Amino acid sequence: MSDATGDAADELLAARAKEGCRDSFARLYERYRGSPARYLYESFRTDFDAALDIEAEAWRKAYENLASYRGERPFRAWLLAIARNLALNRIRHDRRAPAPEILAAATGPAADPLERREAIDQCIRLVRALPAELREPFVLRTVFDLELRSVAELLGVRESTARGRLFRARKLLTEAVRAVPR
Amino acid sequence: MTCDELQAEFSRALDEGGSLAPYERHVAACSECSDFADAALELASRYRAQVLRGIDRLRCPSPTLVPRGPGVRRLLPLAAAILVLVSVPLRPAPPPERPVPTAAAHVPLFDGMHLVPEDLGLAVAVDPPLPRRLDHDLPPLLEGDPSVLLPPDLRF
Repeated sequence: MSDATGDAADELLAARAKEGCRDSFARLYERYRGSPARYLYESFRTDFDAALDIEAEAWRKAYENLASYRGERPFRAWLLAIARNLALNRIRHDRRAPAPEILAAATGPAADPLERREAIDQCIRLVRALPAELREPFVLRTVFDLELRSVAELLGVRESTARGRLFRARKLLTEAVRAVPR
Repeated sequence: MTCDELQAEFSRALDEGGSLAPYERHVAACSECSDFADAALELASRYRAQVLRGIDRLRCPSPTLVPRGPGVRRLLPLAAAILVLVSVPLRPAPPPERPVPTAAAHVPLFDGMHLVPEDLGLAVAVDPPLPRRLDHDLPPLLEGDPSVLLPPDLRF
């Protein structure tokens, strides 16, 4: 393809894909392939193979339901929301968990992620030690650059709640870093 | 404003695209807020980089699934040498005798051709049983045949 879709905005590509341009959807796929799986893996600490399965399903659903994408929020937020719904459905089915809050409780902080000083360089360990309800908005905001409004929409909470969770996540990370013996 | 309130404002500025300049002076002087800023900026940046590297690795998988260490690579020439030594006999085998051409090597194309048992050996080079030139058995071109002559005014 020789037009400008190589650097085109996600929303433009999504609009073209809605009009039937498979190439535009392929561009989106190339741009965000792997992101949903990594988001699920980081946020819900799912098995990575399961995360990849869910990502594949999310891409399929995104393609099939492109008509329902209105472009009011970033495409990646929409895609991640699809992946999140699929993951929560699967987790509910597997664990018979009725709500994400239970998932948060089930995937609580690690026993002691800061036993060694080297842990301070293992940022992934520190973030994974966060409670799930704080970890997920932190991942969405930090890694995927979602705006606060998109984070709140994706989590199904108010912006003030999302903002508060992000603040608490940073506070906990600060305490975790400070707990490392100097 | 307490440190906790300042950190909340700092966090809000991070999430809503506000400027961090108003907090710089306090953060530079306060170890607690400095740690908070480090976690909010540096740790977050490193975490982001690690996760994005993981996504890149996922998008560009290595062609070799099982990496071979340098030790294994060092042994490859030795293994090849052993393989060659095992496969080569100590005494060179005598060269195969060149078979005497038989009459079957001169039979015309498709006409009376038959294989003799000696010709079935794979390792023995024999003269081809077919004529070397396929046009041996074709009728000669007729001089002046208009069906095969090119027009005299044709130029390449």
